[in-house]
Amino acid sequence: MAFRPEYLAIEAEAQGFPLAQRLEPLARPGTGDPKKSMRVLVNKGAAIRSCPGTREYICCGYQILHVGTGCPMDCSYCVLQSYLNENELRVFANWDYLISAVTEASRERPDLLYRLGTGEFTDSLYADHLTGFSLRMAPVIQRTPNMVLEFKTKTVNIENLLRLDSVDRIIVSFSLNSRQMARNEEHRAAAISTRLEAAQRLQDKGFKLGFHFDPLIHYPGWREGYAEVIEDLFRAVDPSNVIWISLGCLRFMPQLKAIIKERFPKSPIIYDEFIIGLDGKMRYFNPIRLAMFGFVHERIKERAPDALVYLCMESNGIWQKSTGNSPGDSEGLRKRLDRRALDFFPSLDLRP
Amino acid sequence: MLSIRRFETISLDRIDEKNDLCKLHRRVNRPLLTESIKRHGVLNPLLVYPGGANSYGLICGFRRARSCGELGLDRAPVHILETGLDEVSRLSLALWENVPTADFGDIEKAEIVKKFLPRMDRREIISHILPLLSLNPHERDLKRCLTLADLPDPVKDFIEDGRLSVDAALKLSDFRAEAMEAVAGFVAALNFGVNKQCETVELLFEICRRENIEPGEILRDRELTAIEDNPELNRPQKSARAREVLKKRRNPLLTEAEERFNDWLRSLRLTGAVSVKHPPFFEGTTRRIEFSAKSHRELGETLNALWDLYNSGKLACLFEDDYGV
Repeated sequence: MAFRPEYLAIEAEAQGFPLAQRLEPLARPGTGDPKKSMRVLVNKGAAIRSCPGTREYICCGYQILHVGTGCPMDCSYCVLQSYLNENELRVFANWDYLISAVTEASRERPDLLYRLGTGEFTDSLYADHLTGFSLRMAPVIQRTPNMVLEFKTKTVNIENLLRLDSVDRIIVSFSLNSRQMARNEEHRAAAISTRLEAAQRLQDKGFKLGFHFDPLIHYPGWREGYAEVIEDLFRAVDPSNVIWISLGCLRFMPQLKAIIKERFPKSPIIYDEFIIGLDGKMRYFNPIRLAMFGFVHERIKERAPDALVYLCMESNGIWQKSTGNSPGDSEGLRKRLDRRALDFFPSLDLRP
Repeated sequence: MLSIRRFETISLDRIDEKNDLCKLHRRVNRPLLTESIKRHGVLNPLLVYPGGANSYGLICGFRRARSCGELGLDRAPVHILETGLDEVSRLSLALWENVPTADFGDIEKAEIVKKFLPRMDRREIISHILPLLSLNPHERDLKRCLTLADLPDPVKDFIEDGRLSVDAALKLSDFRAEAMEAVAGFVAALNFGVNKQCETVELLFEICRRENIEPGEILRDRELTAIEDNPELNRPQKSARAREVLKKRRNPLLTEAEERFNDWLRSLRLTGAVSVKHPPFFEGTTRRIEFSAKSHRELGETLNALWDLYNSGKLACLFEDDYGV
């Protein structure tokens, strides 16, 4: 069911913006469950930010288009629980600021391929039926010759996307997990089968798709669980429409452990064999990560030999041992992904 | 101001000890107090209120009343309060009467706070009662008290006996009530300091959660019971081994990697002057070799030994072998 906030506050500074005016009829100030609340405000920070990756591991060079923060879904493992002070969904109303940042960035660095995404601090599509952000931003991206925009989601809120005139340089990505983990840990997110059905509909419309198996969670039966969803994935979509698939094992800042323990006492996921990684995050001990990446990578490659599979924030050694090859460093991975985007979107035009 | 209606000496039978709202001490038996009463009688009268049906409720003097009973006395001097005091007033009176002289333990403080909880506004408890008990006027301290107050009595006894730290006991609240006592008994027997007690409770809890078992299954583990039953080990040795067993069960892969690394290290037959370390948790690529020397000659010997190992290719394992990782 599409999200309809119980409480919707529009901050004074945001009042004059078209988004605020559109949402005005839904406005209902008050305080309640933050997961059912929404706030419309003005972004006073950077509109485009580099993904807060880590120097110690290989990162993809993804850029965040900062459209809002928070998420009404309630995944037990969500890093936002310890990252954000406010749990409500906050959307920025000053899209003109966002749009000028996008066009300015494109003009300043025409040689750089921007892989922009909105799904870092919030779900890209959770409130899209209310905000209409995809309808507004897709044409902007399509006018800038060196940008692609990736919507990352765990929802099936794709009706606006299906109404777009052009699907060029728009990537719709779904977070995937095993059915058991999605059911037990991804509260209020769409079921895996409905996510795949949505992916299929987008594919039929001509969209290029991405998939993110992140976090891969180690639990008894994980092999069967992930093998099953990989089978289902490639039954639903044609591999040639999949631009990339990322894999990332469960990792979290140590302070998140206590939050998960308190908020999700039934969840066992924090009790596996974790170590403190080079970036200070808890991550599975090396052999577990190797086994999981190796297995999932192999299964994907069996079904989609040409798929570009990359690891999110992993070491050169893990890349080598689990996939048989490594981009060497973050720059290498960035180039791989850029090349892939150029192959998938011939309209991309990088100028020296 | 307290209004005392009259002073009387009454029969102890008329004191309703079942109504123990105002009893603030867990252990009422104080040998010195009994001895004092035996020698001099009750010097300080008990404080009671009319409880109906010709009986009195006790506000202050539970220990004195108990001592009188033990000494076979059938009467005691009492101050009788006006009627109409509500529970909060009686409880507050008992607290104020005791606070200047009583040395309440953590459990007693927790139980006092819990007695106030259904009878007084939460904010008032935080701002008035907690400071009176030398606790911080903070919600966190209130929650801590309530957690302690809800522990089973045998666990509270471990704390009062000084065999279990409060911090470790608070972690016990992660377990189901039935399991707490067994875990507390196990941890108390190990005779660890606070940090290791906490670590042990956490290890047990996390193993239970990961393996989806009850702590009893771990505590009955053959390896653990064999350590406990081994007459050749003293208490510190038993405790250290039990901790190792738990750590290995909690982190089997890491323990295995450490063991393999240490096996390889031993095979090098290095002198004590050289230390070789893998990166923390085997994460990262840098290996660390340290050595020390007391003389130029010793330095030469150490460098030569390392050089020989390097030339023989044995040190290559340091970078190539993954020690099961």
